[in-house]
Amino acid sequence: MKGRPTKADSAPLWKRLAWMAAIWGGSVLALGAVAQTIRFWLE
Amino acid sequence: MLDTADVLLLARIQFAFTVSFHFIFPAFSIGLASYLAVLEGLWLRTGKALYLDLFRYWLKIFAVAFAMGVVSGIVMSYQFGTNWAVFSDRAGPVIGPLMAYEVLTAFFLEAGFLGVMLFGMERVGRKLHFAATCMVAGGTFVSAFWILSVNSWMQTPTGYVMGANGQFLPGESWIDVIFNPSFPYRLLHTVTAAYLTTAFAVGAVGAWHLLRDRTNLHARKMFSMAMWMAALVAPVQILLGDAHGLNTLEHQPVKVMAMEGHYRSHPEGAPLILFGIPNSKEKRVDYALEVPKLSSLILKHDLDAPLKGLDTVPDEDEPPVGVVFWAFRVMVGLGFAMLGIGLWSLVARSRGKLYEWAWLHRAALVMGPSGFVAVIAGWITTEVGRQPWTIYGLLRTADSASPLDAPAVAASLLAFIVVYFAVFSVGTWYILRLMNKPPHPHESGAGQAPIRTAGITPGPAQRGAAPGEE
Repeated sequence: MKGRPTKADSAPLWKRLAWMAAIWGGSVLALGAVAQTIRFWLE
Repeated sequence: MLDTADVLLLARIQFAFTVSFHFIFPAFSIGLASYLAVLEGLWLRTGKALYLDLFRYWLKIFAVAFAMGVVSGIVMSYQFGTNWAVFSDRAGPVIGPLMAYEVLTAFFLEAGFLGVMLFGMERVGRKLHFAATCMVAGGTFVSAFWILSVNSWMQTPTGYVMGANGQFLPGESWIDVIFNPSFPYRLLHTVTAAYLTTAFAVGAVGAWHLLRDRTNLHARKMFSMAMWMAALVAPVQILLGDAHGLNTLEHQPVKVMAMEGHYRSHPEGAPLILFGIPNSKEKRVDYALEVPKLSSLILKHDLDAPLKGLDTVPDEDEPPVGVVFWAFRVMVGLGFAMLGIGLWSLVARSRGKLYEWAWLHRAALVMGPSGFVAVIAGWITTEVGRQPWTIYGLLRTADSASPLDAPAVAASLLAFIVVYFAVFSVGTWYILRLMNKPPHPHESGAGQAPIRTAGITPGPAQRGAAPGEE
């Protein structure tokens, strides 16, 4: 792997996975909020 | 006063308007997600910063397109309940689970990992970030898989049994439902169309920046990659379209009659009508420019093969011929124009002039929106062509709509038109603004401030140039 390393590449795996789960969860929640808003609007 | 027919027409216009708006964005994001995965993979494999710059450049555009696609897609799924409640009630047991898989994919694969793509590079590291990019690219394909399975089932329904209450119920095997006869053809044709749409959009942006600065290495790279796609994928798409057409002839022959403008049967070989004005009142194509027997050759691989016409179909089962006829020609015409650009780029590349021929760049720029127009024309062909049915041959469109008052449907249609034009105009304007900026070394990622190195002219290494690329 030749791409320039980022700061996170030296962090422990559990920490990187935790960040991934947190960002993933936040993104899903954000879309859920948008979907609910549209649902209320259409109702 | 508006009557039932007007309510149905308004509901159809509303669905056509919202789905046409919606599909523009997935047509772009399906291909762009894969392009991003390729760019990031190339960056990780070669270490060339140029690929990371291009990845970041297109990631911002992808995020905006994806957001508009998801939001407009949510409206689509709700609309099944608001305007097409009878259809949803009748077909829900079959298409409901498939649509649920599509929504789950959009939420948990596409949207979830898009957040990691946008904000995760400095948090999760390169490998996990690349995994997230691949999940988004895969997610767009899986999402397309499910929704196209639903649409294909509506075109060629199989694997169902009729319930006592008139509902369509899943039969013995879901495989028969999912892999209905038109699904493999529609999936391949549509996903390939999305890749071509993205290629021509990327190619147009590359061409635009090459016209302004022929030495821009980033513009050169994106233009080169797009032209490879045009040259290699456009002919494949034409073959896939032909296969899809033959499948349609087998399962939905009336749609093909409308596409071909064949009002009457041709027992000794049917002509290919290139252009003309369909006249459904007189049941003929006026001012037809046609090639004798060529339609039989294309559709049956035999010059003298008989082809039935719309004279064998009751009037109430006939789709609107003019719309289908012209939409089909727009799609096919653009497909061949794409092939032309691809071949032209091959000639330019073979002569070492890919970045020099300004007329090729101008043509690629003009062809930038062609993919979007072609996919919408293709969907108009297939959706209007299967009228007057929502579930082909089984449930009429007129029997599928919700029992709503016309003013209610008209008001919601008006609201959609106003909101969509306001929201999506801003989004599209923002995408065009991002595209107008030339890609450059040290491209900032989403949520990052651009890196400014005032007074320093980047050398080849900083610009991401490969040895010999200068």
